[in-house]
Parts: sequence; structure tokens; C-alpha cells
Amino acid sequence: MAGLALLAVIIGVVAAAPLLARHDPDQQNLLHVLAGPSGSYPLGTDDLGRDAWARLLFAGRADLAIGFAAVIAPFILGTVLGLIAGYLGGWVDAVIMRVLDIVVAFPFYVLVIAIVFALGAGVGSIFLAITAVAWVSYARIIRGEVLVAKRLGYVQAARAAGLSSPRILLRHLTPNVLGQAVIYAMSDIVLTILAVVTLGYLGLGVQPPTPEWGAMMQTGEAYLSIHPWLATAPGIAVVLTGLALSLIGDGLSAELGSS
Amino acid sequence: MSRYIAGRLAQFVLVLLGVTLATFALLHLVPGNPARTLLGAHATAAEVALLDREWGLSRPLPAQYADYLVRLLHGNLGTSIYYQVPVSTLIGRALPVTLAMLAVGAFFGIAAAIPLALLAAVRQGRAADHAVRILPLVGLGMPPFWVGFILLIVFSLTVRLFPAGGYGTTPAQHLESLILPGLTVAAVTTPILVRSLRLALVDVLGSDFVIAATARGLARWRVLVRHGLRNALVPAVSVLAVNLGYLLGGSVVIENVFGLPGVGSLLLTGIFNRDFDIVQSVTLIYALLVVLINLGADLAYAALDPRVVLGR
Repeated sequence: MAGLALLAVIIGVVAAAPLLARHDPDQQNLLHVLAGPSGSYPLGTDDLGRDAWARLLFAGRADLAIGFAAVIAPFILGTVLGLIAGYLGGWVDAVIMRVLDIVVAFPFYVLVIAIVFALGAGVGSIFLAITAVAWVSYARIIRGEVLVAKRLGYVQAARAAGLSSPRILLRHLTPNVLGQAVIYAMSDIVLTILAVVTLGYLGLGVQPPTPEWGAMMQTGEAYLSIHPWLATAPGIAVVLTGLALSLIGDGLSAELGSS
Repeated sequence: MSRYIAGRLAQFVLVLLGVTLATFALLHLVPGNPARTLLGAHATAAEVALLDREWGLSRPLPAQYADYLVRLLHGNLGTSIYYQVPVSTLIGRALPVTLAMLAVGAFFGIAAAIPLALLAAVRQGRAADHAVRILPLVGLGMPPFWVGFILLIVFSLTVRLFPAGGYGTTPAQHLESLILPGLTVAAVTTPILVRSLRLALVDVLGSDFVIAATARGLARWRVLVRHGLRNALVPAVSVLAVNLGYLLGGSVVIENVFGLPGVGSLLLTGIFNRDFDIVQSVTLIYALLVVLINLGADLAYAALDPRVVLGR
């Protein structure tokens, strides 16, 4: 509940960004750079004289939207591959699992960074890179659930009744094995937002001048000693978002009765 | 036992081959002609042709992959376009820094996680437990580099206790430079470790032999440490091994924040200089590190625990 409330507040604030900020997030004012916080500029201005508070709010739009969207493709890809591997078994399972072994051999960030580098920085590359790496967790979870469910009465019964494999997979197995993957997706959104922010910090993500939390922290890093809030405030936004999503995930897994 | 080891080694070789296939494919993900794209608009036709020939881009793909494998087997990780030195030299220089940082980080992480998990497990369901259980929820949402910023602001810019960056030249300076990065690594490690260690402890503390030990009248701390902690550490550390890839990946950015000349910084300079051989080989080295540590952990586990079942 606390998680949902916090997330609602964050989304509300981000959605109402034009009302809560007094300045255009992209409006530069080179006569007013690196100013301290004031009534008109609650977080001061950045190195180009842009309102840090307005950028913080508008950046939330990019990070939340990309973070949520980038979870969908790995979820679907991993679920489909997990279903196929678990249900068919045999060489199909073996091939999918060996590919999975290879992907998990790479540290998550290293592979994502390398793929985004190869493809060229930008939002499209982020989606592709995260999908190529993050599907493995879903495939693993779903495959495990399918292996268990396959032995249960309802699947056996459906098979004995002569239902086709696609029908059993879609109508009977999928609704029953999806729960754990949905729970995992909640914590995966946190990791995905972190990845988007990290890529932004490295200059590989959302390209300027679009405000983004990671890119803001990169800008702020140079002024850590004189204007620490420029780099720390976007981080606080990330932590609060992560906390809200983790609390929801925790509540969800307690609700669905798993440890 | 020997069958298990043989099977595990075969799997290791297979994964390693797959990993090289993936790093090989990386070059071909580059849109257009990789040599032209990576060299940028200012490159002359001759420069592009030279890189083209070096990478053997005009040869059929299977032949290119075979060349790549042969090259790797000779220990040739390519040459940095930017530094004009073998990539293996650069990695050899950087790897000890990364490993030292991870060791310091693991030390801090374990040192923080054990008392926290013990506290939570003993006070299960009470305020202290709830406080410790919130920790992973906050901790997992923190960007590692942001934790680095906070530590820099507090311990380097406000209280001038530690250097703000660099690695120094003497071993004492090295150690001093590793404290803040180590703490940052620990900030990422501790939440994962606390969560699994607490669960394992709660499990162990409810088991018969712990109840029996308490009934025999052993001192409380003795039961906790000798019986509880000892048995809870194995599952907790294996959770750490499972998350190794995530932790190693996070260290890339941490090195960058503190200006440590490790493998992560090497990867990022490779990216900024569009130095493909560095990016490709560092990616490969990271995977090699993960696969080797996992293999070592599995074999050590099989040797230590007679109950480990053969096969998967």
C-alpha cells in the first residue's frame, strides 16, 4: 500500500511537471548559470542556466516511461521461450538453456553497455540491449514453473482429453505460471530504471537536451564540491522510485503467497 | 564425483565458446561497415581499408570467427587503436586494481551484513527486523555511482579523510584510494547479502540442532555464531555468487566515479575513444571472470559438501 501511494505521488508529480515547474526545462540562460537554490529556482540552475527543478521533474517522464516500456519486451520474449523450453523439453530446451548460459556469463551492465556501444547510443539501442540480456530471468522462472505444472493433474487431464499443445500452452499453462514472472517484473523494473539511468550517466542513453536523471547526474558530477544537489537530487528521485516499486513487488509476492 | 567434474568442465568449455561467439558477434552489430562507422566521418579511405583488412571483414563469417578463436588462443586480445598497444597489456595492468576493489568491497559487505542479519534474525518480527528488511528495498534502488557521489561529498569534500580519486603510487596510497570505492561496492552487495543471510538464519535458528544446542544450555552467542551463522553462510554466499554478474557490472561505473584505473574504466575509455578491440576484449574478460569464479565455486562446493548431487 505504501509502495502504491509513493508511486502514485511520483507519477503525479512527474505528470504535473508543467504545473510544478516555473521554467521551461530546456530554456538556457547563460547569464544565470550554476545559481544556488532560490524561490524561483528551488534546486538552482545547471551549467547552462537551466532550471534544475524543472529538469528533475521532466526527466522523470523519460526514465519512468523507458523503464516501464523496456520491461515489456524481455517479459514477453522470456515468457515465450521459457514456456517452449519447459513444455517441449528435449533439444529445443537444451538449445534455449545453452543460449541462456551464455547470456548470464556476462555481467548485466557490461553486456548492455557493449551492445549499446556497438549499436550506437540512443533509446532504441537501450531497448534492444536490455531485451537481449534481461529475457533470461523470465525464461528461467517460467521454465521452472512449467516443469512443475506439467506434472500436475490439470495439464495431464488436458493432454489426456486430446487438446492440442498450443491450446494447452496458451489456455491452461500460461495463466497458471505467469504469477512468479509478474512478481519478478516488479523488481526488474527497478533494475531496468537503474540501467537506463546508468546508461544516461555514461552518455549512452537518452541524448541531450532531453532531461534524464542519469545524464543530469553526469552533468552534476563536475560540480560535486560547489553544487552537490545538482548530482544528488536526481539520485534521490531514483531511490524513491525504486523504493516504491520494491514495496509494491514485496506486497505482491506476499499477496500471492510466495517467500 | 569425477563424472560431475568432467561434466562441469565440458559445460565450462561450451559456455566459453558461446561467450567468444557473442563477443565476435558484437562487431557485426555495428551498423553499416564497422570499420567506417567506428572510425567516424573523419577517417580516410585508406584507414578504413587498413582496419577492414586487420579485422578480415571481407572474409566469410565462419572464417572470421575461426580467425578470432585462433587469435584468442594465442593470447592476442587485439590492439588498441587509441593507445597503439596490445589490449592484453592494458587489461593486465587494470585487472589487479579491479580485483583489489572487489576484495575490499566484499570485505566491507560481509562485515556489515553479518551483524545486521544476526540482529534481524534474533529480533524476528520486531522493529529492528523491519528496519533491516527495508534496507534491501532502499539499497537495490540506489544507482551505485550515486552512492559514490554521496561518499565523495561526505568523506572527501566535507571531511577530507580520503582522496577524491586516482589510485596513488604506493601500496598504502592504493589501499587508501580503495576505501571509498570498496564502501560503494559494499552498498550494492550488502542489501543482497543481508536479505539472503537473514532468510537462511531464520531457517537455521528454527532447526532441531539449534534448539537442541540451546536446550543443552550453550551460551546464546555461541549458539548463534557456531551453529547458526556457520550453517547460514553457505546458502548466503551462494546467493552472492549467483548475483556476481550484477555486482561485477556495477563495479564498472564505480571505478569511473573514483577514477580508479581498473578494467571498468578501461571499458569506458574504450567506449569514449570508439576503441572496439578494448570494448570487445574487456567484455570477454568480464565473462571469463564470471565463468571461472562460478566454476571454482561449484567445484569447491562439491568438494566441501558430500551431499551435492552429481549432475545438475
